[in-house]
Amino acid sequence: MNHDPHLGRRLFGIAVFLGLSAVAVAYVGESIVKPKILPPLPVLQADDKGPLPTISPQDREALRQDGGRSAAAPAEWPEGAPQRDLATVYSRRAYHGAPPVIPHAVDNALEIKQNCNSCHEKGGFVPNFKAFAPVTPHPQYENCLQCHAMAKSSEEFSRAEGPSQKNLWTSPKPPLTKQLGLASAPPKIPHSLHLRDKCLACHDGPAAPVEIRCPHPERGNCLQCHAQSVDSNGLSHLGRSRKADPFRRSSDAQGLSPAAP
Amino acid sequence: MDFNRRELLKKMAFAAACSAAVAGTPGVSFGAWQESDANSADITWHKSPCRFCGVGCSLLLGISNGRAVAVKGDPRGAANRGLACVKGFHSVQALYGSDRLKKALVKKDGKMVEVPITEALDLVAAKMKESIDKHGKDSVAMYTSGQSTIPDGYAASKFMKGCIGTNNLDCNARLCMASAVTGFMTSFGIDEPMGCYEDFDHADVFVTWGNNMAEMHPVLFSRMLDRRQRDKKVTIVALETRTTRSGVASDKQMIFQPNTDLAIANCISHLIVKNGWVDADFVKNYVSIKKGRTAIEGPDGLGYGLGEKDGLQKDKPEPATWEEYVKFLEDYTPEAVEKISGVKADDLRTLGALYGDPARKVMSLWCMGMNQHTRGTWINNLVYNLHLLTGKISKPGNSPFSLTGQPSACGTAREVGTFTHRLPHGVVSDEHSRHMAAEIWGVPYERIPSKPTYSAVPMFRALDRGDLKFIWIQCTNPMVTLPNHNRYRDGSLKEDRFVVVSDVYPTPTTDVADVILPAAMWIEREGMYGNSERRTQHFDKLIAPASEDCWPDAVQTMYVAKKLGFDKEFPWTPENYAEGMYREYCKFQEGALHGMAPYEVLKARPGVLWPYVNGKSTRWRFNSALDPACTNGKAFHFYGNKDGKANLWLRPYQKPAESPDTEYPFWLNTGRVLEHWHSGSMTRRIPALHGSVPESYCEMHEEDARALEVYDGDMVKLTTRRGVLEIPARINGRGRPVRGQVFVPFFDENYMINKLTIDAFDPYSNQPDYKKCAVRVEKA
Repeated sequence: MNHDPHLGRRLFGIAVFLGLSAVAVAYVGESIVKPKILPPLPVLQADDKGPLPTISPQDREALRQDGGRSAAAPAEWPEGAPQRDLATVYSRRAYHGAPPVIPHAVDNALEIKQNCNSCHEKGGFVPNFKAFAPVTPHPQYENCLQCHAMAKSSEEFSRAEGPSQKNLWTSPKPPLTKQLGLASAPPKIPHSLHLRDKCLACHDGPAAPVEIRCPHPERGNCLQCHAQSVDSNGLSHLGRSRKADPFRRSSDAQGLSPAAP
Repeated sequence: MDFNRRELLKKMAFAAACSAAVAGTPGVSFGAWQESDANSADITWHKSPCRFCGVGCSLLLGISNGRAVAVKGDPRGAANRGLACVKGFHSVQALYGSDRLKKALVKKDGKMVEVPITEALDLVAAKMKESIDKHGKDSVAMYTSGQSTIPDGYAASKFMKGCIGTNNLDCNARLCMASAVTGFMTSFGIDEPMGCYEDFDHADVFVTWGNNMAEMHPVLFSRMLDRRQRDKKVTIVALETRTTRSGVASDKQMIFQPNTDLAIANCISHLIVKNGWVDADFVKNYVSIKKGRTAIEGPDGLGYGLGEKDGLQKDKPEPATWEEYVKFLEDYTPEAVEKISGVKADDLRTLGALYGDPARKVMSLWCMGMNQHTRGTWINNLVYNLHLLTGKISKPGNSPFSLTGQPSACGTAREVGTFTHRLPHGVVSDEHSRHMAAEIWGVPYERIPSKPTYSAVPMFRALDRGDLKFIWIQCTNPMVTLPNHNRYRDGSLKEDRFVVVSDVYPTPTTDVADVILPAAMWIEREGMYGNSERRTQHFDKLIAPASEDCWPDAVQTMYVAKKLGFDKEFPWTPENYAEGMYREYCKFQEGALHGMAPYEVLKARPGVLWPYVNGKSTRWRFNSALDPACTNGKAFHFYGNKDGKANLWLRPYQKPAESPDTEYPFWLNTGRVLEHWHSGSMTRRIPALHGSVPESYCEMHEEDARALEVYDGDMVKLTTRRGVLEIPARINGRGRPVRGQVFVPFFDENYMINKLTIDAFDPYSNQPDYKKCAVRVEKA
């Protein structure tokens, strides 16, 4: 074989050169690039909760004690991400139970496609907004902007000529949290469950308002212990009338079989 | 600077995101509710239909301390099943704008002066009397609304037709679904859909014809999407002239050129016939083929409603044979229609197969796209043809469904009949209907004139000419919504015209008024609305009106009628008029064809469908198994027509009144947005809705914008033969026109697009075409 006697040395030389270059690039690159990456997110667990930091037992205890006001941020809490509280939640709604407005810009592509659920179905940290996306309690609906208005202006409408206009509408204070039927009983649910029957969407996770985070999200059957409060008109918050409708007949409710002809 | 490119880009992106987010929430004032002292536990919930569109969502309104404070969808509601849209959820805020009209205003020496409402109404009565004495009873008119409650409409009809004795009564529903009515009348001889919203639960294919349901009928659109989620065979096809949210959410979008829906419908018929998809038994037994007038020009020409004295025309129906029909369809091959409409021949074949497949149940849905059309009656007929040819009609899930835009366009305008040609039962030209009205109203038969006079646009033309001297406008805002706005505004401001406006907020229409009457709004009074699916919904008076002088429209009408001496005809008080008028109105509709639910039933339930026969609602009409009004002993009975059959019409494709040319090279289309309802006088005073769409804009294609060097938000100048408007451009927004077309929402009185629209209308329905005219677009 016509071996080049210097091959081994040449190869070694090339390898050394490449190695040094790589180190040099890495070193120089590091000094130039110094990538400022946001605090690392916790590793995704294999459950379906998404990349959400879980609450430590101490924090959970603190939540139970004072509704989470003093709960320390989880160890991995991203720098600058605010804790949502009920005041923020209410500030986005016209009244307790109203669909919240969208407090961030909605770009045109998103507005026509409405794929809001890519962030709001399971939640998670959104670096652009430095915040955790609140989780929707009704991800089955696709036409999100049907109910959720965008917030493009905070000014009220006034006619071009004439006095400025202001809406004088008012609504009662939101319900108290921790309404107990009996001392030490589980708190009642002070709102309708219509469109809001996925309790943990709002009562668990890092975007849940601190005052209403559930101390035991691992218990799945919320309505086992938490009863709904009922208004004075006999309507539960589900809106079903407790009073019988004297004119409603079973034949009218069911009608003839729609399958006929 | 120790930045590098990557970091800089990153910072820029972050800053952009932050500024966008901040720009989106300046001050976050939309959420700062002004809390009352009441506790939320004090709320009681009461049923009411929504104040806004024709879907007719049943709402539960939270009342606390005499104020409406919250809203939720009523889970018992047949239309919405507990859902609502952003307008419905915020609807009660429309009651509390700070500029609510609370006092009557009367023009004295050119200035509007506050007076007690009784003084203003005395003046209205005096002016009306003066005009009748001087110029005859046809010199006074009323222009009402598809938002009038059933009692409001009934009072207006009885007053004008039964008391004054003039047919000068029309309403804004003429602008919104008159073609749907003439479509029903010419095809079936009886108005309103044969099916109901339960069809959404049974259909496999939904075809929207020029109807952006995602924004205009969002609750029904969600019902469609919900069906598709649970049943993978459900297919949604969106026929549209620009890309909308509905088209994006559909399974198949087909973009067509304006007005070519006529050709597309005939092409589908052609495919159904050619491919043997016709339900021959159904056609043989239940369909009669007709042809009518088609000439555009000449003494018998249909024209486009642009002539000064154009008004309601009559068709001359003649029977046609099947062979004639097949020959007529030969012009509408997929290839020929592709050239006209721009929809690919293969897409047309797909659509034909969906309609033709006997295994699929098809629902066609439309609203303003087909109705605001100079051949609106025809396109309604042509879509019914598709369902008649395939026998896909009057069965659950097989349903041509004409949607409406106003909460009581059906309940009041169409059923009570607040049109010039209508009576609460039948038409003025029908002797039997006049006899019935005279008897129920207790007025002389001779008093009710047999000839229709002015529909909406001709009514304002007559005001401009001076044939009308007095007009009373209730519950609508024509000075924003009439096409070719400049002419009609100028006309109403002329010297000896007297304009009375009953409304709840100052609008461009109250700006032209000589008398402004403050009205009680929605749940400040008792009333009923009727929605698109023949469902009547009652609401109680839940809160006090904004002031003691805010009277319901019906009570205002009643006061003036009594003042003019018609005490006997209006024996009711402001407390019991709603019940009294409704009970009297029900007498007109008795029977299996149109029986209305009794007052007590309406009060007890969120809503009841008519015909209400023997305590049961008819959900699918004309189907003997489901409709007790069918009497011919066959499976189907189209009892609206004398022969018991539905009409299949030969209606050709024709060009619109105005098309783009070298001088005006673009198409101008107008319409609504989700957040705002009609002229915006209510929704713009709701902070969340106004904040979401604070002003109107002109949607255009990005290539057109590039050619004009227009960027998103730049002002563009729109010019038509009728007017000029400068308005911000919107590029790649929520609606995306194709090249050569622009779209402008009409809700914004500061960007009055109806200065530009054409007042051409359909010859039979007289509904104007707001969807197409020629416009020049320039950078401002």
